[in-house]
Amino acid sequence: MTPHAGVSRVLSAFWAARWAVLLLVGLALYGRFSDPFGLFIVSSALVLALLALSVDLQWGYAGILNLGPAASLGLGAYTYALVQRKVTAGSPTWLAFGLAILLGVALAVIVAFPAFKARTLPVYYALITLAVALILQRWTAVSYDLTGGSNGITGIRLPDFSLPGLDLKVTTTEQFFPLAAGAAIAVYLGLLWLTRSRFGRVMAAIRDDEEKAATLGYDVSAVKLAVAAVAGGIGALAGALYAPLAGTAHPSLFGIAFSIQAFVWVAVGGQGTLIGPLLAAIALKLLENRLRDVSADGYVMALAALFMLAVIFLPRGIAGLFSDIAREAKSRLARPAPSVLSTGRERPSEGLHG
Amino acid sequence: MNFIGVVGQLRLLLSFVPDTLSPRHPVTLVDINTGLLLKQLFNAVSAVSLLALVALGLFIVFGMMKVINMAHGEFFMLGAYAMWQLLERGVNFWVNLALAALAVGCFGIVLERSIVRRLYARGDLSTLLATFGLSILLQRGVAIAFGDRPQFVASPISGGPTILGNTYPTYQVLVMLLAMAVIAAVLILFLRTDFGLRARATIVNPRMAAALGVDTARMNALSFALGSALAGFAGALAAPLLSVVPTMGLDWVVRSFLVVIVAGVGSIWAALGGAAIVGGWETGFTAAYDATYAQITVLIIVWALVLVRPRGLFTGRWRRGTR
Repeated sequence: MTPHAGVSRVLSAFWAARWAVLLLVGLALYGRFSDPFGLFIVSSALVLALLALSVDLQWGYAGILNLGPAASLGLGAYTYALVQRKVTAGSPTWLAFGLAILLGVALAVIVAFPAFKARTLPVYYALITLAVALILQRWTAVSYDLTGGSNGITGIRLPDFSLPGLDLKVTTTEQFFPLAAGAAIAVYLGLLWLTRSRFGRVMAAIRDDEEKAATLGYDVSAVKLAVAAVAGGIGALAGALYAPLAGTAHPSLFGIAFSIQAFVWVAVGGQGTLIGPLLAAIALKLLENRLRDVSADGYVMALAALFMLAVIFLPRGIAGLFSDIAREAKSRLARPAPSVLSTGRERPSEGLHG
Repeated sequence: MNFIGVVGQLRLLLSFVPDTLSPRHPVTLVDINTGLLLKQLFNAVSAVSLLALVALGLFIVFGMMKVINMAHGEFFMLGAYAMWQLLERGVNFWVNLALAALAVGCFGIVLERSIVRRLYARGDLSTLLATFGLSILLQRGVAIAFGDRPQFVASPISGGPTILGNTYPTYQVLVMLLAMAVIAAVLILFLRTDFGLRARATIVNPRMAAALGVDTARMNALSFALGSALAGFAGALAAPLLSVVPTMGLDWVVRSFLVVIVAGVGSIWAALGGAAIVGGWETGFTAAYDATYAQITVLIIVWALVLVRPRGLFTGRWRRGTR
């Protein structure tokens, strides 16, 4: 590799991560000037945005629809809460996060395996995931001994990432903000890398034409399974972060409200872009905070209506609209690069990507 | 909230499940006698016929338009609320059954013409998502209008005969018979009439049907209306057996979809077979053990069946004389 190529590679990596840098700067400024309650709101937006990113990875990038993403959210939250409660020796935080992610991946694989291996209709996966989330919600509500029933688990401790010689204990909600921001940006960058890697191009190929991708020799079910597993892990991470932030874990974490919220953020932000759902999460969470006092049901209703309209009229979200404009401008300058499969109907894998 | 809680109160059959697994109810061994078995059988048949009615509506819409209508459960809920509201206003119960079906059916046509129609060309996932949004919209809308608290609809007939020590509520018998009658009517409509022939042609091959002069757009609208009306009717019919809450539809849409997944799409008979499996197992297991575990085991069974028969159990010999 020539020095010139090395420099241009670094530059292009920076360019790819430009939104992460902007987001980081924005969040740092917000953290500097906001009040504690605002920090709490934005923290929970960032944490729940991870769930939206997991939805986006599946729906926007791989074309598989998981209607119960909250299953992994709840699982992660309960795992964190239970580990924090049961493990008393040392600091269980690392164990709690590790176990949460592991279980999230395991649940996703168990649920997804029959759907993808047996190559059922794609809608079956959507319905089964919805059913799994509903049943987990019901099960946690009746399993008093383990999960505290419908009261849930309260008094969940904040994470303590301290290692020998390194004090990383989170003691206040304000201190949680950098953790939430860090997690959101790290997952964002990870997904950015994943979606732009060779794996990501295969993912897009499967989304655009599954049969064609299979004919070309790609193991479609393995790729989909991997996507579901990654998404499950991210969802569980979101749950493990959300439980200490909220201080409670309750059955409604598995509920449809959290699922639809993630979908709304993705639909408004634009599926197939990663920064869109993140920004939508922050914006809509702040808006929700204003509107919640007026009517909680009204807010959920407005979200659902917004979601419906976005699905019908803006198939690629508001960010997709901007991306269209950007692409239009770009295509006048240069022809777009071909993807793994040049299908006739390309979706917004270029443009405002991240 | 779900019919199982009302229908199945006894737990006897499966006493082999360990006690410690049960979340709330310790398993008590009950003498298994003919009377209890008969009662359980009755409960199962009653639950299955209601489930088949709801699933049939979903089946028609899914089979005809390849459209996943996530709001199907909310149509059921709207039927129940229509019944409740009309009763409050002093309208006769039996008139309400027809009115609820009609109202929900008309609502279905409006939705099909305004929203669902736009999404046919875009593949089933966007319809699924749009109707998912719609279902939440309807659910929260009803919650705003009438509140989240459960409403109770009084059964128009009380009492019933006692056979072998168990009471069989007359209304529940009636629900069963009415559900079966409506299912039979729908089967006749689909298998024995000109409309049914056109409808099945549209299901098997919409383009060929259109080429042969079937107005497929009209067929789609009518089937959607029929599917919605069936859900509305079932909701109104089941209202006295359930507590009427805005979220009551969710259970039913999930259960109906499990029926579709187990049975596969294509033949209208498959809906009945699937309902028998899902509803029968749930009722039996609830009676023997616990409602939550009944749902968990149903899900596991359905999911295992998917591995073995990805396209459903009752696929194969399908539409008469075609393929």
